[in-house]
Amino acid sequence: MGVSPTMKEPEFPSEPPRLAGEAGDTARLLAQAEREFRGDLDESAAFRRLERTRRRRGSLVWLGTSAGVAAGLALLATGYRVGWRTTPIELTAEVRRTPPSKVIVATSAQPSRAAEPTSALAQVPDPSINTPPRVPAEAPSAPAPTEAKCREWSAAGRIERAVDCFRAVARGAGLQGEVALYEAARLTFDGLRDPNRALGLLAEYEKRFPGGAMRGEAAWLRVRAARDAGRLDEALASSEALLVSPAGRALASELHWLRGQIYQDNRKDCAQAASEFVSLVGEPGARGDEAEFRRAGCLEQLGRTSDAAQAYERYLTRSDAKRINQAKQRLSALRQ
Amino acid sequence: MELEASFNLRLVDDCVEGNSRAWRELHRRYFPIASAFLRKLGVCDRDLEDATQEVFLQVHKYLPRFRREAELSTWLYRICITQARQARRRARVSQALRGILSLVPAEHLVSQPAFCEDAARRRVEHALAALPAGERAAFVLYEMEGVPGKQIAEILRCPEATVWRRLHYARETFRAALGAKPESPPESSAREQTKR
Repeated sequence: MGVSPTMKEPEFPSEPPRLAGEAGDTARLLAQAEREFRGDLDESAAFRRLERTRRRRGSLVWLGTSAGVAAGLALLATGYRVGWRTTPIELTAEVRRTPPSKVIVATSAQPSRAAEPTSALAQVPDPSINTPPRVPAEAPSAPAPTEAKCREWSAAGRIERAVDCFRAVARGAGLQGEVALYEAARLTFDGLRDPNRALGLLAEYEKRFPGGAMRGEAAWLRVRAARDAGRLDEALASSEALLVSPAGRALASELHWLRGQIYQDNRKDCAQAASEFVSLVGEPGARGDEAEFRRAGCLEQLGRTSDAAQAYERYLTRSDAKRINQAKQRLSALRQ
Repeated sequence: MELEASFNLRLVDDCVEGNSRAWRELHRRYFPIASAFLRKLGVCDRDLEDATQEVFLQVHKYLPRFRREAELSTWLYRICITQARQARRRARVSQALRGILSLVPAEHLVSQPAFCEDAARRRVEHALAALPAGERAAFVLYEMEGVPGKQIAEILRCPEATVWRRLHYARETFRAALGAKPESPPESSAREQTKR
């Protein structure tokens, strides 16, 4: 079973040419099979199902653990009350014996162990009532909000609280304030789905931090918020400015896709839309797939028959093409 | 590729922070890749929906622990390989149970698509089914997903030389199963004398 010491271990070629790149039946078969492997799956429906399952599993985990946590808390509370009740009884007896005006003076001389509950009891108007003192919900001097705390709120799904928290942190200057203001705008847009309010925060960001470290991210957020708020001229103008900036180069696909959608869906301007979608020709993934198909449709609407036919043919060579049947139908219609 | 990698890392960061749009975008980007990959690894259509869902449930659960030493796609492929193995195991068990209980197989209850619509896929699936699991994974990743050898070695957690060896034998078997002429074997030792 093992290799004979006198025989040389065979060497296998590394990075051989891929079968898909060869001329012949195998390559054609693999290309056709790739389209079929990727076809007929509804990603949106799968995502909805995924989220339902996640929520259901989260509920089951929550139900399971909350019962345990509740039991633990109940035990803790019971044990705490049992241990704590002795101290107030002893002290109320002391308070009864002493005039109220001298309570604080008397207890200040007590050892520190008794000092805390005594000062709390001094607030109780009727010492004969054995009720625990009211403990304030928050300490009198609450600590200043921190970015970490804001992110905790966000992770817990308390987006409104997180936004308020970041806005509080953003009152400060410097990078911390800048990042916090950007995060407030981003959460307002992504989490609260309020593009107009996000645009207000972004306007504040641009005023306070014109050359800030997050200006690229802020500009991209502004483009998307303006689009969602229906401020399309602003979206187009800001996306055009972003495209020519260094930060925008990394986002070129997203920007052209967004601009193409605005031109085609909102402005009904197929000429401009096609010129945007052309930048996504050849891009893998759902966005590239949709953009190529839309471009072909735009060219067809513009009456550019041969360009449209070429575009549909190009589309059909995509390994991940989702609208194969539609493209074939349009192509055969164009060729008639 | 660097832009893609940095965009993916930003996407991961946003997902970890609880950004629902980022999570939606991540699913939109990787769902077609994951589901097609699971199919190529032998997950049948009946189990594909569940297997793909399980992949993304794992992604969502362990994304905060994702170490950026490897690419996101490497990690995703690994999760898919594990889920495919589990799905195939479940399918074998249920097939055995159906045989024992003499239940009608599910395939016979659903009308089959026309032969021409997925003929290529069936031929390729038949050829892939002839490969052992390790060779199949290496073959699918290299020939069909276009993943470089070094990344395949990371995904499969084996040396790169092992990847090339598995690929060599996988290509032979695949071609033979398709009816094509197999490649000529290496000059040195015969296949049986080397450990797979």
